[in-house]
Amino acid sequence: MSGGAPAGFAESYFAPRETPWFRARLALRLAVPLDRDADLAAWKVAWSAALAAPPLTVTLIAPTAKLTIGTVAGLICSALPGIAATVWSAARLRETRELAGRALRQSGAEHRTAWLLAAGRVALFAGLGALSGGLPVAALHVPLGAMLPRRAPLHGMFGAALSTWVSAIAVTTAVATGIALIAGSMAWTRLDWTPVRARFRALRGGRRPR
Amino acid sequence: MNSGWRAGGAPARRGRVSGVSLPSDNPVLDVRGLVFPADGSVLNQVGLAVGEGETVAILGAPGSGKSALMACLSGEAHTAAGTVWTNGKPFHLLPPEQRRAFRLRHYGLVHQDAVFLPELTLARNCALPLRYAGIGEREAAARALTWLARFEIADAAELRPGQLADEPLRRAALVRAMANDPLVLFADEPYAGLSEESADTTNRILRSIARSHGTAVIVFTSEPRTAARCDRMVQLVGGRIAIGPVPAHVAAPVEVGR
Repeated sequence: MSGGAPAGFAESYFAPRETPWFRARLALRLAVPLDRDADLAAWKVAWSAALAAPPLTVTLIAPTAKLTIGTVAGLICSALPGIAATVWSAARLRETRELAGRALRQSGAEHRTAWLLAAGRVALFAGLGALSGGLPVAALHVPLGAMLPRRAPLHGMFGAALSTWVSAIAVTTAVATGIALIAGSMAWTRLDWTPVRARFRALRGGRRPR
Repeated sequence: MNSGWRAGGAPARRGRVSGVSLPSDNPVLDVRGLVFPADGSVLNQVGLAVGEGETVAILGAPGSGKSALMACLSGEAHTAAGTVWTNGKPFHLLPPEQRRAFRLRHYGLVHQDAVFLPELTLARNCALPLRYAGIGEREAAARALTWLARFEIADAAELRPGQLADEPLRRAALVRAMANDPLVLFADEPYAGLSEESADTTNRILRSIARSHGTAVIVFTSEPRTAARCDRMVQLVGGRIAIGPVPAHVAAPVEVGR
């Protein structure tokens, strides 16, 4: 189909305008789990993000000048279980999210709107979890700082300004939410993990499970 | 151009000729020379005209281009050539955003894999297209309830989709598509998974509503039984519309006029 519409033709059609707060209310409605299983799955995302948040926040706030490779590696290793749990728990919500998106598109929602609304639950719970994991670190940084020796690589971070802590928590929340959203998307299922698996097998020295 | 029911010099009048009925002179949906994609490998010179209140089945084997045709007619896919006139308006000339607006207002779509939001009741699910079309909450809810009653599932209005069997869900998919009182309803296998009796009942309701509301209904199916429930059936073979008796076994591709 090609060519332009006759002058004035397009204007004669109505432009659909969703009523105010409709999207926000629908997003909230879809974000809150309905039954016990959905509730449990959503809270798993939150707990996982909360587990990943403290080391992520500390990594972000740590003074780069004093950081050693060992400290960075330690922080990454301590964040890994939480990140892995976030990936795993968000993947459990993938089907629910996919169905919600399809139902919204079939109801007339735009693709982008449907995607955003369907992703609401994962984003909300991952965000809440990351906040609840990052905020205690920020709140307790003064007593924690007092416990660390002055020569410790992370000691400098405890003197960071409030704005720096707020930024670190915001970035932590964004990172945890992003990880959950990516892991819980259909795009994740299309990733080819064969090279990673092959590498992992090679690292194990060719041992095969019986 | 092979414009469906006009192919082979068929007269443009309503009636049954050799098992194929012809639409009115003034169709609600008039499709001509549809090509998709540019090389015509999926749809080639497809033409179709559907009159007010008429139910037409597009019958074709899997892979014959039914889904592509539905996507092209409803504006979800962009065709390389051809025209789609809806109630005398050139739908094919609309830019994407206005095409979506037009679709929300004048088209109803029933997908084969119709899914609902489990968090909302059936009534709220069916009211969603109305809300997206800009209708207020109360009016949308009232209209959805009216349509649920028309499809004889008003009792299920406050239930959630997970609490319902296949038949009410299939009807709810039709309600969701019809709630806007569309000019054209596109239904992809609307009776899939239903028993013969349930399919007959649902079909009776749909046809009755289509006639009374003047809605042109296009049913895309690979089931000759489903097609036989419609006023008229058109066969889609290898991306082309073919007129003639429907073969007993449509799964096998048939070469027609290529």
